[in-house]
Amino acid sequence: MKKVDSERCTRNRGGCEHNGGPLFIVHSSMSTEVRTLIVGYGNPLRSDDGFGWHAGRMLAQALAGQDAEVMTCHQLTPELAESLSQCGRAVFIDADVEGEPGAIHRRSIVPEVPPSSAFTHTCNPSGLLASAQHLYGHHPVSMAITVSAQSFEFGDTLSPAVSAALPEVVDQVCQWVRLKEPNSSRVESTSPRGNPSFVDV
Amino acid sequence: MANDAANLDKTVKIEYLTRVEGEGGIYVRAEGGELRDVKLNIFEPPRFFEAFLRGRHFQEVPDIVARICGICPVAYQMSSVHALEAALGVRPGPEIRMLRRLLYCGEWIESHALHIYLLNAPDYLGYESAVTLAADHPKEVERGLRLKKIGNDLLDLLGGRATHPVSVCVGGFYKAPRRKELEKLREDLRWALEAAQETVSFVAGLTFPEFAPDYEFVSVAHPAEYPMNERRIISSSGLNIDPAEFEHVFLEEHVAHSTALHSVRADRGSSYMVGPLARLNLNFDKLLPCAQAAARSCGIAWPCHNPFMGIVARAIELVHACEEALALIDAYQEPASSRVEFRVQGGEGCAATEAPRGLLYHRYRINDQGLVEAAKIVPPTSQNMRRIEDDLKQFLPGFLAQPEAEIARVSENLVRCYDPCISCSTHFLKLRLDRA
Repeated sequence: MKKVDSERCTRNRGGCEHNGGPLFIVHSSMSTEVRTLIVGYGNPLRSDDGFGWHAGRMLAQALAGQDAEVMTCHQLTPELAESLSQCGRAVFIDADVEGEPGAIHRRSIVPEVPPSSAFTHTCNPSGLLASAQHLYGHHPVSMAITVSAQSFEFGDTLSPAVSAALPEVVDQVCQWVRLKEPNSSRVESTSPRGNPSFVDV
Repeated sequence: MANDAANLDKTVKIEYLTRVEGEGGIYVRAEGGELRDVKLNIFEPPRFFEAFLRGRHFQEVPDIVARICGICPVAYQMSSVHALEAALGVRPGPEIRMLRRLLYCGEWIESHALHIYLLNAPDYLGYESAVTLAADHPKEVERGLRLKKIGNDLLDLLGGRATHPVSVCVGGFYKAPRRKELEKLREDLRWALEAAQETVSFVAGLTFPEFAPDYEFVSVAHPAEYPMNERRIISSSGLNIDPAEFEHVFLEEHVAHSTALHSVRADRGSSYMVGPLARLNLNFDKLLPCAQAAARSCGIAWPCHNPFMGIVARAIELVHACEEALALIDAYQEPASSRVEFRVQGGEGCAATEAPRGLLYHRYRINDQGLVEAAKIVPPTSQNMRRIEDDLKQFLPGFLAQPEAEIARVSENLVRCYDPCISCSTHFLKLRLDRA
């Protein structure tokens, strides 16, 4: 993974820790050489909503030496459009409110102008891609990987079902990053017991 | 959305306001060509912050109240630490004071840039959203997004992160930045200052409806600087009070159609305005030179009473925030300690600071163990709620002959001028249970 600018949380009372490890906030200072941007997003204090964060941390280690940058954030914001315009591929990782807990869903994302209420303080992936295209003339080939959540209660750990999905998600993202010609038009769903079932859309 | 059986009888319902933060709607009813009812319906669920702060340690308060808002967390942290320091008798030094102003500059930059370019400008240019605006005006939207990012970068550095900063504490900061870290932001802030000046030119060239109610403007005021964290509260009606008198002068009321409280003057029951237009009108002479020059050359006569021109006031404050951030970085000297030591003692204190959207008042009472016994938070958006409804009541009669879609459009535009943060305004709800 290309060396990225990252900053630790500046809280200075024994370090800012999240689940025992430092919290990496990766700034998007991407050069045009960086090909894949991985965005893990959600609230790490709302149990499974933090899935994107946990996945992002594992991917930062798994993709060391690869041409990819990992970013974690609470929510998708409009200024991410610039970072997206500078990469060739992008992966969005988040928790899903629907489905059997632990089920993994993967789908391609295309630019789509959102309703006017949906591009203000927060955004969705397809709206960001549309902004990247309109503003900067380029959008990356993109996919979203989500995992069906079990709990959005207050808490800083993942539920067992969702935690069990982390290795598979990390593996799928790593494989996709390493593809020479990324094309994720198929939607794949993996049951919590690891028996994949594929649904073409 | 509307019935149109008779042209003079109309009902306009906007179920869900767009391009505002939070959940609200508008209801307008006209009969016989006369306006009969206007309601700003706020149905965002109440959030009970003042209740669950009770029993928490005072050092938890800045982190907790930051969660009231994702776009103005610094405002909640600043009002809380100043109020708690008043209760504890704590006086941070000048370096801490400057760092807090710098942190607020970051929030003003990102919040104002977001509102100008993504929320409000589309109204005046005839676009549904910032994305469709970007298709035809990419340079302007790109400028706005880059300004927002620079504001967030400043929050990242000083606050630990842009969303819900983690470095603010009672007495100062958990960590103060190194001078060389701040200096890295200079180049971006110089660009931001120019971009902010271009923003003033951009918005000053927009076409605004004619509308100028007789407002009472209210803001914080300081004898020597544009208001952010200190000191007194003033109004265009001659008010000049210490924040300790706030609850005697301003009253929060429940209304049936809103989970957000409405604020009025306690003595008259009248509404008032807080926010950039109020701040600018009351503190024009405290603007820094570039901001004041931009304000003088934009073609608007100040003080201005047109709420639609609030977007210009925001742009001028954007210039001020960029200019002040640069000045603060130039003057910055690393403090010997990032926070002052103090003894915990019981007490009560309050403070008013200027959130991007206007005056934000906090009061806390803590006991000798440092636990919160009582909390009161009055956000700017709830203070503006009554004023927004009064504006709609005064503005809409001129549009009742228009189609319902046009009435809806101008109503939403007017509400957006206030940049309401509806989630902030619904932080509290008093429950009165009448048993039959």
